[in-house]
Amino acid sequence: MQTAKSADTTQADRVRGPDGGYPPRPVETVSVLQLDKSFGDVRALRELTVDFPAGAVGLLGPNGAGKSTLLKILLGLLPADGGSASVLGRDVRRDPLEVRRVAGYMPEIDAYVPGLTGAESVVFCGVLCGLPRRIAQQRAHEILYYVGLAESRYRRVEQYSTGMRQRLRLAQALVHDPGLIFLDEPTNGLDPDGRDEVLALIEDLATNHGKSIVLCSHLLHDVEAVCEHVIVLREGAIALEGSVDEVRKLERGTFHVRISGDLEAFLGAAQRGGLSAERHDAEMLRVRVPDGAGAHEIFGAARAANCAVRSLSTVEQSLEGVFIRAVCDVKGGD
Amino acid sequence: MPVFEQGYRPFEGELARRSPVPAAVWHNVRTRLRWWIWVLTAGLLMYPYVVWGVAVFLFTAGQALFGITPPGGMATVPRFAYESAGDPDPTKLLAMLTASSPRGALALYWTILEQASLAAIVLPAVACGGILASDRATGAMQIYFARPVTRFQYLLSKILTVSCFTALVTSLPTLFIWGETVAFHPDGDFLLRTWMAPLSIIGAGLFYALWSSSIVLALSSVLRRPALASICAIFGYFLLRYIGFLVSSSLDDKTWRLLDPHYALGGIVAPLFGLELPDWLATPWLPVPSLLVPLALLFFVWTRVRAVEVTT
Repeated sequence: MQTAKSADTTQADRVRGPDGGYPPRPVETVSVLQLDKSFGDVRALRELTVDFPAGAVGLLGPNGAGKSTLLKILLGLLPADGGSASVLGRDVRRDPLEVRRVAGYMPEIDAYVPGLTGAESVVFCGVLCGLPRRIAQQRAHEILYYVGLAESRYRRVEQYSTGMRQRLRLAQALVHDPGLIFLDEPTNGLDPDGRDEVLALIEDLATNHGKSIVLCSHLLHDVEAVCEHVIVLREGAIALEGSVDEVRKLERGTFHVRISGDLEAFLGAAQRGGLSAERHDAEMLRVRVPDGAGAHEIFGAARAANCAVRSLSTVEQSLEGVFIRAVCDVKGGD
Repeated sequence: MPVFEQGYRPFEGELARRSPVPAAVWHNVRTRLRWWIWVLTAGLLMYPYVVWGVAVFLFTAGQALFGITPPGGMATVPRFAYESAGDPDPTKLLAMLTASSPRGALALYWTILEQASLAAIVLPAVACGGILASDRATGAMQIYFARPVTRFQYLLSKILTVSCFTALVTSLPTLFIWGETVAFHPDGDFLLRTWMAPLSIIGAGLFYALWSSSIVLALSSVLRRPALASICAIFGYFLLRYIGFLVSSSLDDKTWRLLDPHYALGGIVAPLFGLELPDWLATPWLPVPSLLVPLALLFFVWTRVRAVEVTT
């Protein structure tokens, strides 16, 4: 497991919005301890232990990594086989209803109550969560304005476009003012402009309104744009965890190198020189140098192995690269 | 600037921990009250309720106000359920209205209610055929289960929704006729004689609601198209009626009429109104399946809802 715990941002910095006017967020919003879940022979979660810090957290992973299973367990929809989990201090096994009351959930799939207008469906969700009807009605209009559906709030939900329904689901998750919001693929089906707008809303919620967000997405760009922290799941276990900045640093000091000569000798020399080298493809190597070192270490290793460096380029620091490596590592480094 | 244009505002109060069932029922009922449901309801209420309501008015208030004289040859108050055909026979109605015993008046309300068995299936089936099917199709179940709503509360809200539509054509109009009788009856002690009637009517209405909701929910949980669920429920009613008639006629054994939902439901609730069951209906095992079958259907619906909840 690769870990990159945040060093540059303290929890105290995160718990308040810039205006400082909102109540402090808890240091940990979700705490998972030794969580285990199997479906027949398939082990969806493998004694998963992780803490979600306050703020916006990206939950990433390939299909079948256990993201959805984790979300269902956290919402109390699915019982875990073992271990424990708490959301905003509420035990999900003992008090699932309370968890769903204090947390908001925006599902991935299309979900609407037929026969209602946009405003009515947001009111309905607020009332289900325990808001008094009058307040739910007031908040529904506010939230619909906030997510950009003010003009169409009296239209039937069946007449909404995909993007509008996506915004409506966000409004439904927000209406009772939850401290933590689970967003499952919130930008699915949106055009680029709509996607940017929704991401801006999510960022606004996290930074200016003191909300904690768990953003479950396949789109690394979305996570990179919004989240401060990232958790990558793979085969039911943590593959990578840390702040986005720290995770990006995992790519710092990494080079793509093309060598002519004895490749095995170069790999041996690199290892002896404290470099981490692996095959990237048939011709290219991926070489990571220790902190404080540079490209000259690679040339040194090549000299030692009687090889010539044909090409050398730095690897761009992106979440995507780290994610792909984290996921591929598990699949046997292919 | 309007308040809702001020951006996102935090909620300062506290979330209530009340049951979400009433809100869910209200929402489910309200969204189903389309104009054509009102038309269908009005049509289903014509007989027996409007016809019997008018007859009751004529023989109570009409007698005093307009001097309407009842037809001669007053019949006797029925002692057994299904003693005679359930048509609005004026002499039978008059006998039940003027009977000095409570049983006479109670028999009146049973006579009205038992003729509504078709309406008790048709209206819930048409209005609520998609009550679970559309929730599955539109992902609405996610909206419930991602909020503090348990599976039991969800299912209870659906049962109560179907029950509301059942009550609209069973217990509510019967209670209305009871109120009409009390209001216009010349005997001042009629209310005292029939104080049991509302309880009997509500009890019978609950039984009708149990059956209609279990059938409609079971069909709606397995069929994707709401219209198909409605058609199956109504078709099943007529099919069972036909089979009951066919078997009892060919075997010359009236006990087989119990296959007919009209007789089965009416027979079960008859004792609530002080009526005795005829020999062919007084089978000791009747109450067992009449409760077990709807409960088994509801358990089946429970498992279907659970499967959807887990895959949510």
